[in-house]
Amino acid sequence: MSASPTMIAIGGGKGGVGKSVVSILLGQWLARFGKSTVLVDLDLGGANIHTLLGIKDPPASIHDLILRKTDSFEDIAISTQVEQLRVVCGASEILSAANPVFAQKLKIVRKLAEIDADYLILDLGAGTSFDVLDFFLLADLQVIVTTSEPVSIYNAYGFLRNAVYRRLTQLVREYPEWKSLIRSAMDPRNSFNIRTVRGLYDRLSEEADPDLLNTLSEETRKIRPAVIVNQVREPREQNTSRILQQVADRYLMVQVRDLGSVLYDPQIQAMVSRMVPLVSRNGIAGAFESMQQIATALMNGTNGTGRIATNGTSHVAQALERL
Amino acid sequence: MNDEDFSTPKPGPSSPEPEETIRHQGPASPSMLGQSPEERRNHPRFEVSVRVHLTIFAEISGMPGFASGDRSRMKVIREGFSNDLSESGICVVLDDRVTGIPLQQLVGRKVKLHLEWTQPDEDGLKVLGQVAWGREKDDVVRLGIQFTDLSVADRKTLGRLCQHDESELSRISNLWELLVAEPRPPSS
Repeated sequence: MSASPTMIAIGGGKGGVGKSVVSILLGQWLARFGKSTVLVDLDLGGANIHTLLGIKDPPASIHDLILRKTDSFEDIAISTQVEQLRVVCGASEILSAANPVFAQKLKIVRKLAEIDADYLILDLGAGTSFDVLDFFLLADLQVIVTTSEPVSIYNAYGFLRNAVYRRLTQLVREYPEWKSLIRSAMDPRNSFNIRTVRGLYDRLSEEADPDLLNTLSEETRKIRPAVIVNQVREPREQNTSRILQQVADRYLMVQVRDLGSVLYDPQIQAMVSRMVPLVSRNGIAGAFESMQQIATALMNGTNGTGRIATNGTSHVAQALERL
Repeated sequence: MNDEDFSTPKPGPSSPEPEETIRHQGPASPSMLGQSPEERRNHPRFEVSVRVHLTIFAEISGMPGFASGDRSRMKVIREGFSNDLSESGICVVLDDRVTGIPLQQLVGRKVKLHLEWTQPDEDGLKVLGQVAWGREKDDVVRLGIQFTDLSVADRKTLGRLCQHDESELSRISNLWELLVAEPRPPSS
């Protein structure tokens, strides 16, 4: 087991695209491949991982950590039907948990890095709140889940765009004039006529310190999200990742990696409807097979994700610094 | 353009050498005559999203991959898309490989292109061209096509298209139409 777990954040902006299902199936396969894995339900406003795993009344949740009933994720990580797979349940029924204050967020991040596991899978909520974006940005592998529907792609791109600008504003927080400019640039129809991150850098280069500009450029280059296209019915739908690759490259200067696609699988919907735990399915087919391939490629680094084999400690330390 | 944009992870069993580019060595089209490769690229390239209906003509009857017989059957039709366009040519990424025709045979062929895009005020553009180069990597075929015999009106249309500044959302929308949506049959 590694000294510090590799964090995989699963986000994507839109609700209903299958982030939680992808998280569970990925966690299941990593565990079945012998990797100690903890699923963390960070959808603090709409936790549902426990339901999808067939846990009706979780004996512990992340709320216990926020309320200081415990000081460690280890105490609230519940075993599942799958050996090597544990889950930290969310706490959507507690209003205060949905919007953790700064100190609580800091605590969650610190404690995540202390979990004794090979992989942590952070299932993020929908939307682009700062909490969601911060958890996404701190991960070693940032995964965006989308379907091939246009609205889902818009949301996935919007999520990534907000993440990039969130990182940029964090980096210039001590420079109010640049912070203001970056916030203005977030508006696609801004009065400065800045249409891309490259355009923003061009504008900054006229007046800002070159060192600051280099830092911004280097830090945004570190954002290398991977896309999973979920619920694919036709081969053409796999091209959804290309759309995000091309638009993110052109407008955000971000290189998006294609982690693969997951077949539309009616059995998943049937299991969810009947509250059958997703990890109880026998046989490998459909979405389960797709996720097996993605998990295998991810572990072997054959999908351009070799980077996640590195220890996550330094990444989390940087994230803490930013927070 | 970035070659990696269209790459797919699994190389096909019949792929030639990766990134091998086959260039046209034969007689040049009238618009290519007297031009060096650099001069041929003297039009700026634009990342404009267009769908391409491509008709490739055989030079002679009985060429591999083409039906033999009367001239109307000596052609193959393929669909593709592009986001690499200039006023002199276009890089087309084919939806499917042109089976049965070696890449070498495609290079130099005369083609008819029907370009379609999603701006509501345009009907698309039908122009002639010649395949200047071909490249196959990871089962994805790209053809570099030089426009030939462009009319003044065609040039104006291309110029307008190239200068169109897509917003992020319209670019997503256009790419979705090109890459994900069910292809529409070419209008006659």
